[in-house]
Amino acid sequence: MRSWIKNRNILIGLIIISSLIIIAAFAPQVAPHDPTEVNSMVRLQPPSKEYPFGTDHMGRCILSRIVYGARISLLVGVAVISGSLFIGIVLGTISGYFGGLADDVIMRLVDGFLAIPSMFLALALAGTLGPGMVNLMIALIAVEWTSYARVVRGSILSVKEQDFVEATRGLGASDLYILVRHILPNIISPVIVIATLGIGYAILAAAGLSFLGFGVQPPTPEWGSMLDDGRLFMRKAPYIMVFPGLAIMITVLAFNFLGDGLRDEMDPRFRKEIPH
Amino acid sequence: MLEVINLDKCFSSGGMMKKKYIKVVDRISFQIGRGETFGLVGESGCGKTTAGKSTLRLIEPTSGKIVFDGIDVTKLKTKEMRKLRPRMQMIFQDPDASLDPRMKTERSIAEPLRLRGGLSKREIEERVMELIETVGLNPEHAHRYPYQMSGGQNQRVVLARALASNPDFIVADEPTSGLDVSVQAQILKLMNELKRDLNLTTMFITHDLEVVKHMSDRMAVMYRGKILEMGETENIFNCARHPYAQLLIEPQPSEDLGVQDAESENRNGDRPGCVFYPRCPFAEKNCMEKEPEMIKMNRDHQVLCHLV
Repeated sequence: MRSWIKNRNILIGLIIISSLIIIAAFAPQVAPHDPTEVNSMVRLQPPSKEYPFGTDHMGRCILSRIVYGARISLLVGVAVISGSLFIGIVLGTISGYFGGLADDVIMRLVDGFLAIPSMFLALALAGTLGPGMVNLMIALIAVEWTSYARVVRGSILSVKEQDFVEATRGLGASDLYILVRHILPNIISPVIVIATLGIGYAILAAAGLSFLGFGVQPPTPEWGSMLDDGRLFMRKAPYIMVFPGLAIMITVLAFNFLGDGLRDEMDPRFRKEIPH
Repeated sequence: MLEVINLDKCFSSGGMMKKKYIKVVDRISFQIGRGETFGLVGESGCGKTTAGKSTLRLIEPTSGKIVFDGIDVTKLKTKEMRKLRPRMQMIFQDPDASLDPRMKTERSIAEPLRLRGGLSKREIEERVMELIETVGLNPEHAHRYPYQMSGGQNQRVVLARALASNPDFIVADEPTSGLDVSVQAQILKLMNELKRDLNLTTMFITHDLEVVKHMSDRMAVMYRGKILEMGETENIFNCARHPYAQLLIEPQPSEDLGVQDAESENRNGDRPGCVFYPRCPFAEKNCMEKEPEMIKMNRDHQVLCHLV
């Protein structure tokens, strides 16, 4: 565990992500203003001491909205990936380890989902289900779970044929034991990597859908819908878009750093030093 | 100790509509006595590994009967089979692939002990260190991962792991073919010592005649899924009766035995007659039409050929 902290990617990722979590958790204390407070006296103000990131077209404090928006983005990202991971690992494991008819059915289902362009599917679902945060998450899980199912299935197929799995079965171990003790630990690195990267993608996609008006509804502060708010004033007041854009970028980047670093550390073969 | 009767293993290939069946192991029968080492030789692709794995039911035999220590293994249900498994262990060809890359030596060796249960943490630790010594490793190897050790060292770990479950019977599938020649000799020596000290019954699968001569008490020669000749190792080396066994033991320079391997031939055809017919230098008309039966030469020497 201590050596993980020494990895620079993990360190940077963790520092940014934990700061984001702290900011999100203590949003009322961190934010200088009420994020939904409309003040027509201070519309479209550039960054100042009072409003460090400026104000939007309704005179709301952009910094405060970003701080509160972190709550939504992190929640959506983590919830979408947890949901996708759960479905993907369960179905991918059944498909890859047991094979047969279950494999055929699950994989054809995945193919069906993949045949529809992902943004279109998410839009169609979000549109059909109606706006709202929960519906947004359902739409994104529907898009995301297939890649986990496929990665899990593929990794299990390659690991389960290896001699050490057969040798462990030869010791009298049960399928469940083999799956939990040998197969899942050996496939978890690629899954962790794509899951961490996936959080970034989910945050990005959620912002995109909110930008288009699906998902989180105003006046709730959300990074994607803030971009939409700033669209009309891009020339006059670019800071309305720049700061939420930066927030999205930094967050996605942090998850990418963490994902990369974790992959390096979790697979013993990637470790640089060999203990003697 | 172990008796295998008419063991058959077919693999199916092809899609859902048109299935092809390939017979990899074709009605083989053999017996192995307690404490005996039984060598199974044959060229690559002849089905010897499949025969070994089917014997342990690591792959399900298509038909046939396997009796291990009075127990009909083929009739056991999954749960009963799992209970029996520790008594029969397999050692695979590639030692690096036989160990979980995420497990250090001590954990790998401790796993069979943990699975069996009933031992305290300290007892397990002590037993692990004991086994590490038995197979000729140093205590410091306990904390290494498989990728930090050589093939020979890993094969020793595999041996220790197999021994940890106190087996009566071990199937060793080419345990030395992935190793350097100098290391091969060490591993073979170790296996011979262990066999003697622990009174293990072993089935030794190899393509290397020198190895089988050195290791086994009795042996069988396999070709295209069939046992062609079986008997005491010494007997077979001194007076092999089957043409194929003769060619293996004393290869003729004119014979293109090496060029044509068993895999390149069509195996699923239901051609009657002897499996070795297409390559047999002494083949007669009878050999093409009629399948030969096992002929007993003496108490323990059998040959599958029309011409003996």
